[in-house]
Amino acid sequence: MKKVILISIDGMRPDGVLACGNPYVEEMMKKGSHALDARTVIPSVTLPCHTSMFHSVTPERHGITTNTYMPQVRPVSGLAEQIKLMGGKSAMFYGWEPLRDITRPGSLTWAEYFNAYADEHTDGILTDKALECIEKYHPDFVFLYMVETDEKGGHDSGWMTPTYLDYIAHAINNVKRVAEAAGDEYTIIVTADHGGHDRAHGTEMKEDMTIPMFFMGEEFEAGRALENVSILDLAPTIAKIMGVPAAREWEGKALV
Amino acid sequence: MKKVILISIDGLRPDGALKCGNPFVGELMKIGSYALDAQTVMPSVTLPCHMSMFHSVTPERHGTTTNTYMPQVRPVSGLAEQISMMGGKCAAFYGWEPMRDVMRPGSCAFGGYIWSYADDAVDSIVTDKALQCIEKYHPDFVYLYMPECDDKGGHDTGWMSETYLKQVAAAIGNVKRVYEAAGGEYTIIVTADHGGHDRTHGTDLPEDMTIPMFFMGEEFEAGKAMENVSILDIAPTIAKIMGVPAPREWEGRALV
Repeated sequence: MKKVILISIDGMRPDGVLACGNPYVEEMMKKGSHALDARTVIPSVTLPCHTSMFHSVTPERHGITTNTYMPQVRPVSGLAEQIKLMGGKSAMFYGWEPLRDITRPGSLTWAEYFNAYADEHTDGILTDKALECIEKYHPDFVFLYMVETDEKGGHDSGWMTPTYLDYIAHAINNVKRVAEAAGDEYTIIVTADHGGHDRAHGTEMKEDMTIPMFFMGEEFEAGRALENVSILDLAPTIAKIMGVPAAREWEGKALV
Repeated sequence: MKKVILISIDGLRPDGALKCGNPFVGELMKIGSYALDAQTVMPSVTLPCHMSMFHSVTPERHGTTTNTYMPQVRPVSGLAEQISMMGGKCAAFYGWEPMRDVMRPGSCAFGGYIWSYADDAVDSIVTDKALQCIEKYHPDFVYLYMPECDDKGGHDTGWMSETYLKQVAAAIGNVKRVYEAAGGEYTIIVTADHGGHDRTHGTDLPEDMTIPMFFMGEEFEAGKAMENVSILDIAPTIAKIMGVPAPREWEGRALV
């Protein structure tokens, strides 16, 4: 089973990542494929968007339309459940507790949670935990979720402010650490759940709806810009790379 | 806020603790108070019993009657939510993924999960995670859940079998490590969710329904045997020690 790391940087706008000043952004665009105008789903809110990222259906189908989890009425199987079905082992590292519900209990083998305000640089702490797990256990699928860009950057001081851009620069640095430690063993995909404007998100404005994606691995052409990409395409893409079947209901397309 | 560590050893029978051969069991009974015939709730199953441990109501009230979590119909607030509401920080370290649902998202600051079959001595790994977190962040409430007595002991080889007793001895060894590292700062309560017989549990047999409890801290008289104790008393006892209010609905009583 080919191994994949999915990294979600909450609230990262494409123009934010381009303006953050971390030279590794350009590296990512040279090393692999990228999309700078991928679309998320409405509402552009963390739990609905991540549930769509993992289940490849819009919130009107999976039913999670706020940051409070609701059991699905007619459940669509998600990426973690599909990987588990095929015998794959998954790990999740996250800085916001409600995110745990994007996978059903029993689908993960390892998980670590760390509240964003429990320390400084919790994105870095979670990255350390992910790297420790990768080094020791080599899970088939790793999901690393960094929340500081959204909480401490966007909501606390405003999207595109110097503080916000600084959090993105730090998050990208964590991506670099992951790529340097595990880039040979894993295909790495970096994305966001939604953007933001002023000190909020959740609307249909393009600032909220447009997200960046970076794909690094042998399946992706170096330096290529991908078009018409949706957050719904992530689960089918990862499933195809890993040789895991897509659920019948999934609406996105595999990008490989 | 006085700090508490709650340790749950899944499937630990009182006679199992007494016969496991780890001399620290005798120490536990000398250092603090204990109950060797405390009662759990029906059904004597992991998630229903832990929901009752944290919510101080029986499964017929909280509604989780199997190992699949059900959102409460008319929610009773749990221990972690009460602590969080009073500004306390909670941490949970556990070896069985469905356990996450005994606390609502947003009530914990730290969490760590590893599947019991992901490695040898997973109880010890979750104990290490808890001790690292305690050393660095000193959370107000720490919940440590060890699954190996139940999974690898009881279900795989049978309750009271040699393997089961070995797992109990190892779990008590982890309790000792926690006590030696954090016993000065924390009151420590050690208990189980249910017992077991043959290779299963879930019935109203005394072997399934009877659980041990050990209480170590200045609130508890050394060497005292407590009577008529229920799993429903755990949350009110911890809340009282920590100075956290008990919700109107809780049915257990504080033992202090």
